[in-house]
Amino acid sequence: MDLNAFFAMIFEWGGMAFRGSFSNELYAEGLYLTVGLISSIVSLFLVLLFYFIINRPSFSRWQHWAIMLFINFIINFVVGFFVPQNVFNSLGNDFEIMEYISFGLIASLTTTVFFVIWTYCFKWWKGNAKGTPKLFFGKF
Amino acid sequence: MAKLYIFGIGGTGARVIKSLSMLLASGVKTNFDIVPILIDPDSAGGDLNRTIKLLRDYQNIHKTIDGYEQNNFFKNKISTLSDIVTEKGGGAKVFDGFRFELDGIQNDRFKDFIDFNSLDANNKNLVKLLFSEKNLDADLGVGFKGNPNIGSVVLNQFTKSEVFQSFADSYEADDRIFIVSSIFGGTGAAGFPLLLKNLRKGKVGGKNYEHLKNSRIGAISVLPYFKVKQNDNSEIDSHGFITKTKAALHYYARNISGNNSINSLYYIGDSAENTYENIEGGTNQKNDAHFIELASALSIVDFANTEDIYLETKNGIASNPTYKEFGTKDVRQISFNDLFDSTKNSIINNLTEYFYFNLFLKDKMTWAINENYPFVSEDGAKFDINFIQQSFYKNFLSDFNREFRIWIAEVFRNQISFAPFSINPVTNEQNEITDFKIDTSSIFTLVRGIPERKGVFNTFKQKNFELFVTHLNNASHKLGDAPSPQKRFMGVFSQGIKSLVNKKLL
Repeated sequence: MDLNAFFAMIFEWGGMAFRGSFSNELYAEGLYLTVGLISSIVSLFLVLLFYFIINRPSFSRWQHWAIMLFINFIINFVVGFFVPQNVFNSLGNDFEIMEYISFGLIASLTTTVFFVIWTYCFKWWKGNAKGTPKLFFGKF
Repeated sequence: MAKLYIFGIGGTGARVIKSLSMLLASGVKTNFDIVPILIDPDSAGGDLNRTIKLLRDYQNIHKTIDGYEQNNFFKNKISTLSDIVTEKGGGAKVFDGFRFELDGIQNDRFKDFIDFNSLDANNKNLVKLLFSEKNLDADLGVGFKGNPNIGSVVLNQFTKSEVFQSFADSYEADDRIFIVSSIFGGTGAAGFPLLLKNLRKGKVGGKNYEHLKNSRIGAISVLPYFKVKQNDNSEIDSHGFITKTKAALHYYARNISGNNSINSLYYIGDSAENTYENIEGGTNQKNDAHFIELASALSIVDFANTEDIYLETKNGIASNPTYKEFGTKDVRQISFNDLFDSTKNSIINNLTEYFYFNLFLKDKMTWAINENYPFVSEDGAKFDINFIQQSFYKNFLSDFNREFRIWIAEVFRNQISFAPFSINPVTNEQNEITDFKIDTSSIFTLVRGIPERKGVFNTFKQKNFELFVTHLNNASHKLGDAPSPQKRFMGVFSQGIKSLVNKKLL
């Protein structure tokens, strides 16, 4: 499976978020790979920013982590909205604005999961936000 | 571990040992198990009882965290004579504490102590030649009030006591002895030569003790460093301090330095500019801590660090007796930079680190718990409200730290002033120091004469207690597992503050 197909599966939520011709065009133009890589890197960057670059006691609680999560959501909405729109406009493909908004939201929600996954990769490391957040049980 | 028995005689003895316990708490080490023995007839003395409480708190803290290498505070062991005797399996009756209680002086006048009324007429006349009416009527329960002629009679009791016997039994070849006394009062001036003479005899209770006879003995004799207010109703008159000092020095010249009976003798004093309340004894005799007492405590550390080769004694005579004095730069408010290098280097890191430890625990510990920072909740730590309600924190550490802050503020307020930190003493209605305040806007400018180390792009860097927490978090991460929460707590603060102070100040 190539990376485009891999990200397509993720961003289509295993078929639950498949949006017909819009999704087919995304796949055909390799945009799942583009959006997927950008989203992953943005999420990773924001997580690293929170845990290791900002790394301040005064910005280390779960509320601060939630702010970073929200920023991640917004950035990836923008990415999910504008990257396909720019490409499809240049190719002359016309889609309803709602298609772009829907995909922006799907990308945001998907990368929220990316953000959580990156969080659980790094929250155990040395730093002022070590252990933040505890979303599930005990130390998790 | 070899032991260093410290005899603290009189009020000065107690205050010097108090300063020593502050130094040891901050991480100064001696490589000896310190065994303080306080000899003071004034059982209600304010200074004495403050010192005893402090030593007990120290012991409780030390016992809880003993053996944990990551911790630097309260590292040096302090034992009571009773602890030593018990360790050696001895069953002799010794006092279970730090103070030797003189028998037969509570509510007694001196004439009752010597059984004056049962003497025959000739002996009565002889006694009257040696002691004034005031002397004979003196209440011994509050000390000897500047009368060494009374002290030398009463304190003889100590060297004939079971306690002294137990001390002699427990004394081993590698141990050392240090005697702290003032020369211008009653108890110390009388007790020091008496004690030294008996130690060098090496004969206690009819038994010979060669180790004791040839022991390594140091002493500090504190010359006048304060005055007391003139009070015609008081027997203490500071006008006589210099005369008494001269008389005692003449005696020492023949009987201490003259016969080489001591290995290291330290002298210290100051032009006495500050005036204390004239209190003859009892609970109200609480004087502000003084830099002289801190410097005297450093003489104990200096003696402990002196190599054996310089402290040889043969047949009760010191082979190379040394006599030392202490000096600072000529200022009336001393910062670390006004001390000479060896003195400065021996205390600057430890006192600074303990000062910051105090600041955090006093003002920020509850905040840190509420914020749930990693050092209180991660890496196996669990420092929560329950932890700070336990006796280790609430009763021992907090009490000791409060005394440390009072001590720092007292030496700051006193004359000569030891002011290594920029603080504002807080006083109660009786003008007694109860704490100090600091400017919390910039906590790394509090060490006087030591500038805060700033890097480039300082605007974006962490400051004050935020940076403090970062260093605690990092220390907590590095520490790994600890044998107990208390050990972990002290280890985190010890290592965190060390790296913080190294980064920002020293």
